[in-house]
Amino acid sequence: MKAKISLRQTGILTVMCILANKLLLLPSLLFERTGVDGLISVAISFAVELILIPIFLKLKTKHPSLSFYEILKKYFGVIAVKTIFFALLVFMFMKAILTFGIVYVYFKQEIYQEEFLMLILVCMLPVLTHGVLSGLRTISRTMEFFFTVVLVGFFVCLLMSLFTSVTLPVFFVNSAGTIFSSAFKYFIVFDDFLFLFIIMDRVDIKQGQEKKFYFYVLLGMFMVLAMFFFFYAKYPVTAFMHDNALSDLLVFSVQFSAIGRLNIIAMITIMLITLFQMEIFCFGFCQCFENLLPKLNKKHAIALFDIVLSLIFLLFVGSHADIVEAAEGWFSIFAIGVFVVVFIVSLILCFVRRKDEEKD
Amino acid sequence: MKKKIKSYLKNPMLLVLILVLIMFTPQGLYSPGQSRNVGVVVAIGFDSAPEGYEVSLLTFIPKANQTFKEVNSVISGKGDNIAQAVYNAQVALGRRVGLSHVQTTVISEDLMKENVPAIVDYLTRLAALSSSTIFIGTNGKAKEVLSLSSKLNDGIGLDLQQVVGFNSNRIFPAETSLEEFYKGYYGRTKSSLIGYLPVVEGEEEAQGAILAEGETAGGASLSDGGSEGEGGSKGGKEKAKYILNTGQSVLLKDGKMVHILSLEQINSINLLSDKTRGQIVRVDNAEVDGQKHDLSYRVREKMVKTTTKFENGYPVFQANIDLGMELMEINGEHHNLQVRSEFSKLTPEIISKIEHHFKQEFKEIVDIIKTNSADILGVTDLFFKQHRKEYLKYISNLSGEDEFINHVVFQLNFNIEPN
Repeated sequence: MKAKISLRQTGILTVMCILANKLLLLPSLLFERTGVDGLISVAISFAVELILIPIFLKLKTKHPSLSFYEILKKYFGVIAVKTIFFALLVFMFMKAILTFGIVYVYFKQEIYQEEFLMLILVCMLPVLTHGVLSGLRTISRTMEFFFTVVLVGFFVCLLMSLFTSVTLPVFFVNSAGTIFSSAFKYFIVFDDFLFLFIIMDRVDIKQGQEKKFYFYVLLGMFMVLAMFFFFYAKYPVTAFMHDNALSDLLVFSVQFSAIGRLNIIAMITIMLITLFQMEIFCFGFCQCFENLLPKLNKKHAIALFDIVLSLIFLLFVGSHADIVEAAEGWFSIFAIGVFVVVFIVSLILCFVRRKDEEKD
Repeated sequence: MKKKIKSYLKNPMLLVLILVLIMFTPQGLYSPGQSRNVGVVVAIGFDSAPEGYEVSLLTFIPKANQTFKEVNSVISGKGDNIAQAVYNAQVALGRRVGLSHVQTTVISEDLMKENVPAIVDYLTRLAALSSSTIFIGTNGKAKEVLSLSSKLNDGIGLDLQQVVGFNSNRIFPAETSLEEFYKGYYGRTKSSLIGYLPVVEGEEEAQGAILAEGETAGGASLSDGGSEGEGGSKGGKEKAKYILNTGQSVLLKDGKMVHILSLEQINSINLLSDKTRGQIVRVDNAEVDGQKHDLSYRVREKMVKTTTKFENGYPVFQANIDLGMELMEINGEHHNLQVRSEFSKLTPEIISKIEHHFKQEFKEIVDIIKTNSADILGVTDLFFKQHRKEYLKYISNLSGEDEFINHVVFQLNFNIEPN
């Protein structure tokens, strides 16, 4: 029987998933399309993906010790489950590319000014690999340990913006159609709960603990929405010029004779969050890989992940433009497709009778 | 011992650490310090030049010394666009230009009359600035301001950022930064206000805080296909030049300079701001203790409540301003005057004169704003936020949003009390 992670660790993992790809570039991208109504687009996307949570909890209660793979295999057959898990594998890899790409450009702008891809790959990949190979309990315990640091760093970034001029944003300037379409334009950065399905059998959520789990989900969403609100309040007109939202909340105000380089707080927070998110996506990738090819193990999966990620960044991806073009194109269409499939399949599984009940 | 080493080496992270150390330590030890490769630029100036543009960089050169004296130098480069000029300056500097520490951006008046966003596009697009810089204009050459500012520290231990900081906190309605400029430019009214520090020649007795005195700095090397550097003062002394801080601001509309506002005009804008106080008001020929005197009052406390409404189809902006005035000075014969510093005498006559003064000055700034359709008071935004439907209906009958401010009726109601 596989070792399980506690409810608190699951909640923290979920918060990290929710924060993925939303703290830097997304606010300015959404602002370009819908202005400050980008906040509403994010809220709509959250509302849509939130429907997966009760389905996940229902499925978990119904099949407490089975994995999502095993459940799907039982009811839909091998081909269907392999297809779905292949899609999930690709999805996890896309999320990893987006996360790494955006943060790489951020650190390049803030610190290095020049390409330093080899340095970041050499420093990050071994840590990532070791974390994933150590298992889900190790990475979730690490996240649990640093969670307070991340929360404090995050809220310091938000609250520091109050020391500068902020104006209440004026919402609902755009039409409903524009706001709704914007919600799905970058859907690849959402779809935050699919990881829970992949680790379903490793999660220890007992009946009656759902409220606590919802607390973590809503905490993550609140953090993102609060960041969007503060960002648009600080930059109600020029938000499209600020590609690093969480960091630019701290800087871009002239504090005379004040402490400089406060963006180190944002950098450390983003660094920790990114590492945890990369571990999550890499673990999801490896888990899907193991399910697809049971004869191979996690070491093969992680080796493949490292090699393909390195090759993609060394050969293809270098700037924000590449990443954004992919994100607003087929990445998001694919993400919507995976979301719909998992939603439908899970919903069916919630209502269909358990096969062992039928035997009885 | 062997067993211990074997057990340590079984830990893969230790192997990775050793590998990383082997890979990067020699490179790190061999590489020179970044300060040798990167020039630390603390201020940047933009001027027009026959070739197109001249970019001046006030660079800080890290040097070992026993005093805490900063060694600064102004390096400039010319090119047909800003990027080329910066590149040429980089070549002249002999180091890569590091803009992460840029605190001040200066732009000359010539360029302010052109298209400011096009000039500073390089700074925003490159995103090498770690924070928003102070953004100021000057009458002459931005290069001169940078040269003189490097002498400020030597002379009176004051740097340009502190001077502009004083203006930003005490005088200007908003901070004079690149971010604020863009906020105005991309806003509804496309209007911005930035600080203005002129350089004057030989006017050491002129009104205003005279900050730095010096000849225009020579030694700025040019890089323009190997053209020779500009020398310092050759064959005779140039006239001394001074940075003059008179609290002026530049009004920009659509990214172009339209007006230079005086300190008094800025103070009129500040009338609507709760934060700015300390303005001095002079009341001439007012009766105190049976005699006529010239009095000076200071705005000690201020509370402003603004409302917007549409009245009879016209937009009305109403401001209720509560002022606490403190008597600062009484000029004239003092023989019959009881000098009591704790009493600020505010007779109805004095209150009326103070009110008249403020209204007169406010009318002057409103006229400037209306003439240039440059709403820097933020009235247009207020109407949009508070009365969106009526506002949109109103501007649908106008040629554009810019025209809205011309139709606004301003009403100021004062409540002046001694403080």
